[in-house]
Amino acid sequence: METRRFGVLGKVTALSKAAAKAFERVLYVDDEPDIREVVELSLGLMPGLTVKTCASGVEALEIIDGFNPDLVLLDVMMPGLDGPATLARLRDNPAAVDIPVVFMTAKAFPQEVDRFMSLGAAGVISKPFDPMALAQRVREIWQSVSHAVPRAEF
Amino acid sequence: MSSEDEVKGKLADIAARYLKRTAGEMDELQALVGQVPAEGKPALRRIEVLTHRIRGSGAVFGFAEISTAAEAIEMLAVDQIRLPRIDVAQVAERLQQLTAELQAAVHRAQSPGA
Repeated sequence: METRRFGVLGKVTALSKAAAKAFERVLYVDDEPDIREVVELSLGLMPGLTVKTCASGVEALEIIDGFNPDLVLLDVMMPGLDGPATLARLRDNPAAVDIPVVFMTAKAFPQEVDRFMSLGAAGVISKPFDPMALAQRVREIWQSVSHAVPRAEF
Repeated sequence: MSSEDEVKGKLADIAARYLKRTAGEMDELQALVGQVPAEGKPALRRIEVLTHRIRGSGAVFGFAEISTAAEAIEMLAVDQIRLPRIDVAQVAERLQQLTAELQAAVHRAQSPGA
């Protein structure tokens, strides 16, 4: 498990600064270490974001309360507890029930996307993804969810 | 150097590491394919997991040929796992062919322009 806090990088508009201020913590769960590292680098392009990664759904369930992420990115195909099973367990946790969960999958076919959304996912990001565009995509999903379902801390 | 340039540089380093490790995993894949006639579906599941990872990461790092070749193996394994009965000898032979194609793709990626 790793945690990194990134400084302000790149150009930031007033609007995106406001959004980034409230969007502070992301947990990324994937059993593939190279992809975890890529996602950390990619999300590091977003100003002021703290990114924590872990290698399994079980590990995610263990650290979710202490880290209290604003959004969880979940790989779908993981050994043991896969993405959908991890989401179901998160929804059983009162402290995590409202945290938006986004699936990342190589199987982003329409039927699968519909299934993930019906499970309560906030969005689905296809693999392969563009590492240089991932941060923007994640922020867009978070903004759409946070605007649709206002949360007290926002 | 901009932050994006730094990220691109680090991504290139990770991609090189991926390629080296994947080349090393070809022996593991060959061994798993060799276990299919005796084990059947358990070996196919391990092949699915390994090639799924190779496929997904390969695509992220821009190794399209590796990703496609790994996907062919993964899909064959997935399809066979779903069947009630499989002809393990036939599946193993096809896996051997596809594994050879993946190895060739990895070799070409390691030696571009060769």
